[in-house]
Amino acid sequence: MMMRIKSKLADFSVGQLAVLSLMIAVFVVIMVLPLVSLFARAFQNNAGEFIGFDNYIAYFDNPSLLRALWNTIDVSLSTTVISVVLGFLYAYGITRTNMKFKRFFRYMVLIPIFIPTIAHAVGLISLFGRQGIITALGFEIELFGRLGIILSHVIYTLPQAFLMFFVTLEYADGRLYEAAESMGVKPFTQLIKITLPEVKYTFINAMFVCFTLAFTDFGAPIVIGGGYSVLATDLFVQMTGLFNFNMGAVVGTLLLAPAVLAFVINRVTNSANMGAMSAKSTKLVIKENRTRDIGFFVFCSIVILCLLGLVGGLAVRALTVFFPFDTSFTLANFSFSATTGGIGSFFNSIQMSLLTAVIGTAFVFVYAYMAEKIDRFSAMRKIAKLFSMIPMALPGMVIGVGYILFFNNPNNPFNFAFGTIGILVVANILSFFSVPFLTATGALKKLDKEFESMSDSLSIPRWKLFLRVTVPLSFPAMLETFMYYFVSSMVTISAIVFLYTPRFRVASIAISHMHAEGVFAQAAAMSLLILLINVLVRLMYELSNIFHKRREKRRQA
Amino acid sequence: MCRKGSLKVRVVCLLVMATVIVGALVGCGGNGNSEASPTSGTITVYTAIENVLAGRLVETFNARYPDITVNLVRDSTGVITSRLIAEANNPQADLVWGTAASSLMVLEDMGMLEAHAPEGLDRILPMFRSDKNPPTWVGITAWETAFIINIPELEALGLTVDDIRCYEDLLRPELQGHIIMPNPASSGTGFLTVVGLMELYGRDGGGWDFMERLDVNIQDYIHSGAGPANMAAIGETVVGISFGFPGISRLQEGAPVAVVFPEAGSGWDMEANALIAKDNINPAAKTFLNWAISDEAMAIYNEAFPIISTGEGGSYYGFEGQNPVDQLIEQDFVWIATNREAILNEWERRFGS
Amino acid sequence: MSFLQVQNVVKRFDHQYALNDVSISVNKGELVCILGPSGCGKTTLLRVIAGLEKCDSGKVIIDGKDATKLPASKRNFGIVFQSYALFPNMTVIGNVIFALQQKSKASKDELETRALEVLSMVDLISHKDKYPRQLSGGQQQRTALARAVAISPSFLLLDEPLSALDAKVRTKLRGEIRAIQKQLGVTTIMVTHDQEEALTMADTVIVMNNAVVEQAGPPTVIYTNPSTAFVAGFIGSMNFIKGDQETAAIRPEMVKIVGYRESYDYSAKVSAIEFRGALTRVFGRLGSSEEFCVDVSSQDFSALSLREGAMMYMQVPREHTLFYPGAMGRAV
Repeated sequence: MMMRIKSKLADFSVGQLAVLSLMIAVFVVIMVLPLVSLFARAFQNNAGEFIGFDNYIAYFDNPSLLRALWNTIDVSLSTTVISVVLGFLYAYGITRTNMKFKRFFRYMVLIPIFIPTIAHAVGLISLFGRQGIITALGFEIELFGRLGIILSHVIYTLPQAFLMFFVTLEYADGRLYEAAESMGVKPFTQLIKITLPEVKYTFINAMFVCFTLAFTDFGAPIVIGGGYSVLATDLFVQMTGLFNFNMGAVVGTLLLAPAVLAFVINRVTNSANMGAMSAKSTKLVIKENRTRDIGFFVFCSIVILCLLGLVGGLAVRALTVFFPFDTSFTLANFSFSATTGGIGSFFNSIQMSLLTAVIGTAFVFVYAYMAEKIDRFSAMRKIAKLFSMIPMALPGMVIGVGYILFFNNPNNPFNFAFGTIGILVVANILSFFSVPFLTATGALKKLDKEFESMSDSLSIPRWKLFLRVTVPLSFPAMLETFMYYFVSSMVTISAIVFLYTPRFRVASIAISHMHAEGVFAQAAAMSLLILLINVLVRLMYELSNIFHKRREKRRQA
Repeated sequence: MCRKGSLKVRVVCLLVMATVIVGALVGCGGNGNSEASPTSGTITVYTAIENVLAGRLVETFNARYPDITVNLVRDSTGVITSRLIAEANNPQADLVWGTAASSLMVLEDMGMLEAHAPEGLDRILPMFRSDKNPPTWVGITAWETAFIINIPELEALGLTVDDIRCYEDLLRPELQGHIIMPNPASSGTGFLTVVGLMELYGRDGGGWDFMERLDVNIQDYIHSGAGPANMAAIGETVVGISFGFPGISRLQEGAPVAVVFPEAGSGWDMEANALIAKDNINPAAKTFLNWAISDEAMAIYNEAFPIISTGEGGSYYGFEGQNPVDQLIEQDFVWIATNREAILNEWERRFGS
Repeated sequence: MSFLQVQNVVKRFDHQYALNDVSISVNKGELVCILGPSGCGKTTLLRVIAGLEKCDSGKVIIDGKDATKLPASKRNFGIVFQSYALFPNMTVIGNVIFALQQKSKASKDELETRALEVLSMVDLISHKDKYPRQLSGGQQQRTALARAVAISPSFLLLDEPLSALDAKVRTKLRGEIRAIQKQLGVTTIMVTHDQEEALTMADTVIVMNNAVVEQAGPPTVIYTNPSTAFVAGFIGSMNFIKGDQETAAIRPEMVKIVGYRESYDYSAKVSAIEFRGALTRVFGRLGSSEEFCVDVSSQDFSALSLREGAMMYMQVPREHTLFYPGAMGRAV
């Protein structure tokens, strides 16, 4: 008997099954059940009775609600086209030209992800509003409404699109270009015939990411959208203006549409995307071409000027008494009213973001390891992978309201977590899960698959292999995940607006309150502080990366 | 006209007729208060009162009741209300404080409010409390439609503040594309403005006709009640249809704005308090509710809100020589509550983007 | 004495057979090479033996005990992967000690002594504190081997252990692996697609194709007496001559080129001549299509004075000709 138990335990699959089940169970609790609690409402009337698709019929019968849907598609498509094109060109400039200050351009374009989307809108108003700095130069645009939303979304999604293209273009296979060169293929033809096919899947992925982000964002339309209604504001109005949770749930399900579509299409493209990179790829040598370099330099400079202008727009508001009517310098806006949480909310944000980053990174890597590096339980792993991609499409507000409905129930065994900092951390971990999961999976895929076979043959338990080998080898990716979680948690609003606790207010919520209360200057000041801490974290990340690379080099020398 | 600190000018109030009326009406309200209010505990309070004000109020409360810990959840009326509704199964809040009465009526319909007569109820004007006895909610302040006007921008259009006194003035052709108004579906202020216009110009058609004409001049309908005031303050619009408080706050902070209360009267709503119905009612919540209508609290509300529910408002910027309560038009809250959805649908049909 | 047996093992991946009723037997202390083209199922067979892959049916018997359901960790083998799977964040000796720790409760000093022992066996003592990336391919390979034998396994599995190395190092390491294997007397199963490697190193060669075992036997038997046309074509060079009922096969070195006056079996027009050092290979065409080649020692070749386009005449000794049923069933 003892022997049998021992041999069973030694068969690591039992442990693996347990961990995998736990991971899936966690997702069921933190995502599936809250979503079910919310979406069940889409099929109920106010009395809680099941009414089938009546709410949907009512939705599609209501021209103004339907208009919000078309508006959303309109701004999301426009955003997608602009962001993807700009992101591609920008990444192309940095990876495939010899222009100057590439490193500077590469980091500066990330600015928008370091500040809350509400702050993008505040900055835009400083630039393009009636009293805007750029408007004063005679360049007038109709900022509030469709155009403002698109501008805001482009700012918000451009860094994401850029990062995706950057990764793809950076690891180009130089051999293809050398071959084309030797055949006398013209540069433009090379672009069409080699570069574009190389980034084809990135194009598709970037389009979905931009589209989904724009489709579900709430911060920009609420501030700068004016009366232009989109699904996210509609959801907000249904929930917080009309208290119609059932219709809100209907809108919530519609917000999931791009994700569902992305998933279907991803299944098609993914299978074709295998094995594009071989170990024998050679580094691309960039040819001399001054015209091209100057062109891209000008282009990248314009983009960066716009982004810096945005920060400038925030800065003038934060550092003047009452922009634009009293522009004398002051630091008074940094002494935040204690009642919006004061400076304490800033430190709370840091605390929450650190917790999110630490726990989130650990969770993501264990999760990705279970999904990627186990060769059994393929059905469960498929579920795990499916789960991992859903959060990307979940608007924060859907998560927030779902959490209230699910966790705030005395019969729920997890009820104790409600109203604690814990629920904010969990909501953040879930909200931002998809990107770190892809990072982690990518890093794990690069590790030799035979490590696992090796460890099985040596009876090294998987957890030991994970801690001793996988973790150290994935260190750069873990750092990246850590940073991503930290930065995202610092700027998020919508996921936690329904969940933050009275004793624990965070800076991004404070900004939305300051904005709502009209103290734009303090909102701008707080945004600058968030930008500052996020830039600091990014700097630390870059430094530790350099340090890590040096150590790797020493090992190779 | 735009003196700083005008709010602080507290004039001894007019003799309040209300005291008499209320004394007669509310005699029965006081009998629920026999149990002593505890002076220690922890309470969770949901409120839509502006941060600055709410913070000061809680400080003052704690000076009197240092052993009661107040956990404050502050957000916009909409968010607070939907949070309460979402939490209906297991209310986290012990009480809701300073949140739109129109929202509290929604909660009342859902059976979420516990009838409770706080001490000192007899001082509250009848128009500012629920018609139940003991009342399900008790008002503390009212807020009312106001125009927040950016003076330099207005003058750039060739107008002066004196040109904008009443609703009709908003129809001036110079103002085309220069007025921002809140969306009534997402803003309580927007809703009370729409209701006010319907009461003033006619529920059946006159109100809508006026809004159609106003629509020509509207730059945008936005999702926040204070937003139009704030936009006017930074010059992003010329006239923001909003309510008094944010306008006066911006004025004090140095924004070049004037706050105008329309001559014909304002649509209004009140911020009210209520005890949340749940299995274990927190006794310290009642201490807070008692204090929340005390003179001490009212005095602080009054710094920001000309209209407090005792009617003892005093003299105010924008209400020179007038009792601010008189600014409020007559409104039938029952009619409003029953027609809320129809009004919003009609508005959405006409003006939704 | 049979140490390890695989009996009627079947393994499918998505309805495709990787192993279709495969049975093999390995004697104690011998080195067995599983040889076959890529995709033939040889690596799957190795992984089934290791317990890293579960078979759909059939049995694996190790040392007389049914091990079919035994997990990899209980089978007590050492393994060297094609990629070596060295942990890059550990030094050479760190890799070996990490492996030893799992199987032994011995003290740190004892583990280190053992590690140094195996590292000296593969001549890596001077590199013991280096990280894998600081080593050459051959050194990495030997580290992996040291790690595999450190735990004193009852058998050793090598999965294409030399395929990532260049030709010279590969040849050298063949000898070293074989020497260590003999020194330890450890039963070893090696997977390779390189016939030269199999023929030079193995006691027994198992040739696989299309998920089945074609032939198993000592290298000389496999070479001189391939039991199927596939084996005949896969191992070394072979000329096939189609007949009506059967196909004849003969190795190029067994064909003798003779003068046209002598009696000959076939004649062909020389289509190409390849100088291969000690040997020269002469290609010709029989009739219109079938290519035919003959190996001649380069010394003899010069005496033949053959050139492209000339006719050559060949004797095909009957005793060296093999016959397979059908008109050349499988492709070469």
